Amino acid sequence: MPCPFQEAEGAELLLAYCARRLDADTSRWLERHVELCPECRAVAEQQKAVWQALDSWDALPVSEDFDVRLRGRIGRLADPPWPALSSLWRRYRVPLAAASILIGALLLIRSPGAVEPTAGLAGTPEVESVEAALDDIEMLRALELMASAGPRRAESL
Amino acid sequence: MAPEQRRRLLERLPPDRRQRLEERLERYNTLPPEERQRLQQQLERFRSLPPERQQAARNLFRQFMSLPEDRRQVLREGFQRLRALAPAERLAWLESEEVKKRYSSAERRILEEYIELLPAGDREQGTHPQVSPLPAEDPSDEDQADG
Repeated sequence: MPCPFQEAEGAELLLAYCARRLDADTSRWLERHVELCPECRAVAEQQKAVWQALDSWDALPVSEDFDVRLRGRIGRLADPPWPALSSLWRRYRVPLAAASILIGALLLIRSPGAVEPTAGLAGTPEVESVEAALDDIEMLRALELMASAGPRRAESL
Repeated sequence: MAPEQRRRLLERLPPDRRQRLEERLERYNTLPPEERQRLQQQLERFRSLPPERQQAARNLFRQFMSLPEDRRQVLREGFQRLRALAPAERLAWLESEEVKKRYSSAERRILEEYIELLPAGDREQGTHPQVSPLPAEDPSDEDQADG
C-alpha cells in the first residue's frame, strides 16, 4: 500500500488511524508505515496530540457544585458584555481550542507541499543569502579569481 | 536592495547580527557604482561555476584569511603574478627558488590551489606576459617562509 500522503484519501486514512476508527489490519499496517515515514509520523503525532487534548478534556471531572458556583459567578458579574458568548466560551473553550488544532492539522495534511521547515528566525533564509553573497563578494575581491581587470586590494565587506 | 526591504529584513535579526550585516551592507553601498557592477558580474560568473569549485574557492579564502595581514599582502602579490602568467608557466613559477624563499610551504599550497582555481585560459590583460622579478623582498617575510 502506498504512502497515504501520496493518495487523495490519505488525509482521511491518517485521521481515521489517529482517531482509532480503522479496522485492526489497516491500523496495524498504518502503524508500521508511520514508524518508517517521517511525514506521516509528523502528522500522526500532531493528530495524537489533538486527540489527547480532547481525551484529557473529556476526562476532566466536573465538581458537583459546578452549576451553583457558575450561577454565582455569573450573578456577580455586573452587566457582562456578550453574556451568551461568554457562557459559551467558558463551556466550550477546551473543545474549541482542540478543534482549532485539528483544523490546522487537517490543513497541514491536505497541503503537504506547503509544509516547509520552519526557520528559527523569520527571514533567516533571506538574511543568510545576503550574508553569503557578501561573503562571496569579499572572497572575489580578495582572490580576484573571476577578474579580467587588474587586481586590487581586498577589503572586508 | 531597496531601503524598505532592507529595513524589514534587518529588524528581524538579533542586534549584534543586525549591526554586523548593516555595516557590511553600508560598506558595499559606499563602493563606486562601477565597482559594484563589476563585483556583481563576478559574483554571477562565480555562482555559475560547479558547486565543488565554488566551495574550493571559499575554502582557499578561509585559509588565506587565517594568515596575518602582512602575509596576505605577500600572497596577493603572488596571486597577481599567477594571473599574469600563462597557464603553462604557473607551476614552473611555483617551483622556482624565488617562490620557495618568499613563501612558506603552507602559503605555496595556497598558491597551488589558487592555480587550480584560475580559469585555464585566463591571463590578466595589461600585465607583462613573461616572468618578471617579484617586488623586493621584505626581510621580515623570510622569517615566515620555510623554504
